[in-house]
Amino acid sequence: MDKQARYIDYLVKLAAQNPCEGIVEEPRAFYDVVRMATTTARPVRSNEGVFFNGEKYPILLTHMLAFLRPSYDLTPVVGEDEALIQRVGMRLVFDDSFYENAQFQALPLWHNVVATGNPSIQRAHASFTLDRPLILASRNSLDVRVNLALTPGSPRRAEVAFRGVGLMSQQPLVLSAFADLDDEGTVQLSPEGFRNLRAEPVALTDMSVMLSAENLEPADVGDLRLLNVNIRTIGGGTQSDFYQGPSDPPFPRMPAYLLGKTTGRCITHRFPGDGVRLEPGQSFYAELLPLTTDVENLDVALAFHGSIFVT
Amino acid sequence: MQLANTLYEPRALWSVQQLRNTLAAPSLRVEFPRVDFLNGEKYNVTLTHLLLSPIGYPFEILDPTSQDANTFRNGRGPIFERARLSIAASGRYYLNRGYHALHVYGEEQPTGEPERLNASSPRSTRLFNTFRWEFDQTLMLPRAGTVEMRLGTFGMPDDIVFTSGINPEVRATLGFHESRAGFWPSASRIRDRQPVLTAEAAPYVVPGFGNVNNGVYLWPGNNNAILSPEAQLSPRGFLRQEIGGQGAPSSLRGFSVALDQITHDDASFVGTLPSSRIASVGERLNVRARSVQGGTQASWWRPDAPLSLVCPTMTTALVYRLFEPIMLAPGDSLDVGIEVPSPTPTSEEILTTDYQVGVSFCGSAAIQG
Repeated sequence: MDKQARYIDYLVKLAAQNPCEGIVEEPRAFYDVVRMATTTARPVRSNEGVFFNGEKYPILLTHMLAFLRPSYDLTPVVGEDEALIQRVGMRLVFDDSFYENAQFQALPLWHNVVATGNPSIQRAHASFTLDRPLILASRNSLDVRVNLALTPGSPRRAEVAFRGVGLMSQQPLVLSAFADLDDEGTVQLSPEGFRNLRAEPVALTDMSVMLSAENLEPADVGDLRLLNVNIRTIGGGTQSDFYQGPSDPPFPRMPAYLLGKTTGRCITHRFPGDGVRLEPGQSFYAELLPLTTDVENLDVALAFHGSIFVT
Repeated sequence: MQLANTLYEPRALWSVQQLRNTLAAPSLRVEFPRVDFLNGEKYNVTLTHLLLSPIGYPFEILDPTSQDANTFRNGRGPIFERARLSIAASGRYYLNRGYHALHVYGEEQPTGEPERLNASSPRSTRLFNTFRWEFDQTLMLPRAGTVEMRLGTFGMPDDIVFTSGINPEVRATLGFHESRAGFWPSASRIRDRQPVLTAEAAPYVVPGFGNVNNGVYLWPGNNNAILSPEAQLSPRGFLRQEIGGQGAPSSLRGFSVALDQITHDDASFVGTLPSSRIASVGERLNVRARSVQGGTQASWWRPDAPLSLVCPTMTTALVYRLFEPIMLAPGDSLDVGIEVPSPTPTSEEILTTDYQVGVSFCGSAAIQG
């Protein structure tokens, strides 16, 4: 195919909102934690500039996830009943055009993907199938950092795992690492656990994250809502954070619950068709409205997942 | 396969029957009325999903600590595991001969939601309580075409005690979802949170509300004639939300109903049984839907179907995608029967009541010409 034909092919795909294949494709997510207003009459807007493509390449967003995150900074912590998310309305705004509806639409109406984990582990575990495989070259690794939102009474084990396949050998591969967290400090999981020690590139296709209970009492369960996580590549790729959140106040790691796209406990919305293509410099914002008084002052965590295409 | 120049409309054929419990019989069996599964239209109807749900039970489990107090037990579990269906097209062919387990007919579809944890009451149901039908075939509506959806009322047994001071309300949000061009690939037209009435609270005189059999509301009962006046998406409300389409035809991908029954769950319990588990209101709420000023303008299903039986994408019902769609020509109907083993005195499931179950087939009508 000559150069002109390739350019026409590029334009046709662009017009159809299908991104061309990138030289490098990496997961991306924009996330935010929004506190509900103290009156049902007033909507709250997501933090300024969070849902903004500040990189040089297009990002294709495919999923939106949301859950009610307990307000850990309040004493006592409020928002333990996750079902109250049924009473939060949301709308998305891009350049004065609304996604779904100009009215605030209750979040359960956004839920269009069945992503329910097994009841025995769903409080502690979330899994995520990548939209595009993440290629990890030989000897490259991942920088995975985690922290807890609250200091536990005794250490909780956090574990992150990726699964994939060798590009040439087609043999499966598992990369994982864990740490026992006993305070709110940031911990980098061992990069050795995520290093590709093969002599071939590997394509990572899905990942999972887990936060265990504080102890092994029968009634105790893990609580992934407490864990925050961020990831970037080491030695290749863009080496930028996969998950980008608010900077004022800073929230450098995404609530790990928001990785429950494949199995978890979040409102999970898949954008129809190819998704929403966010060009460099483009942004949108979310507005949330408490539909009843009992969700006022509660935190809603939102994430928009997709992939960046470095062309 | 989508045919050219063909309009597709969603369709569901449904029926609800009781399995009369007689301990002397080796199994309980009932055949559903053939007319309930009749294609009475002049278009072919293709059915793709099979749904099975308990209907009309206020509780999933009344008392988990007792094996005897099954008054409200809805049979989810053992009865559904062992239920067997017979499906035949009258006079044309048998899908099979005799009664067979449900998984014989197709692959079970995951439709569930996470359970509600950390609630003020452990008796509550699902986390989001969303019911949804994502159509296999897009419903095209002309420029002025609209749809209408109306929810009915639901029954409450006399035994329920309401925590004083709390209004045990249920609120519903309805929405239709459509594809569109532009930055955002979708739009929806909604009826925001409105109360769904109990039959007792309905603003009509209801002589002898429904028929009650051991705490189970028989379906259809008199309550099916009542509609909650607010919980509906009217054609006018649908048309008023024409946002950004500039009068273009609509292509509807599906609809959702979100039922907020948190207050209802937290406020109601039966006497001294605080661990009873409340059933989703979607299993005891009737619904109507149709196209208006577009399409056939006929009801998408026989009016007043239980909501859980017409939402094959997300529901509390068991959902199977048929291994081969069933095509009903005009005038065709299905013979459907269900059989469950009769209880034995040593069984954990000692039946003291009749079972009430609903069966539906969901799919689409192909309108040509």
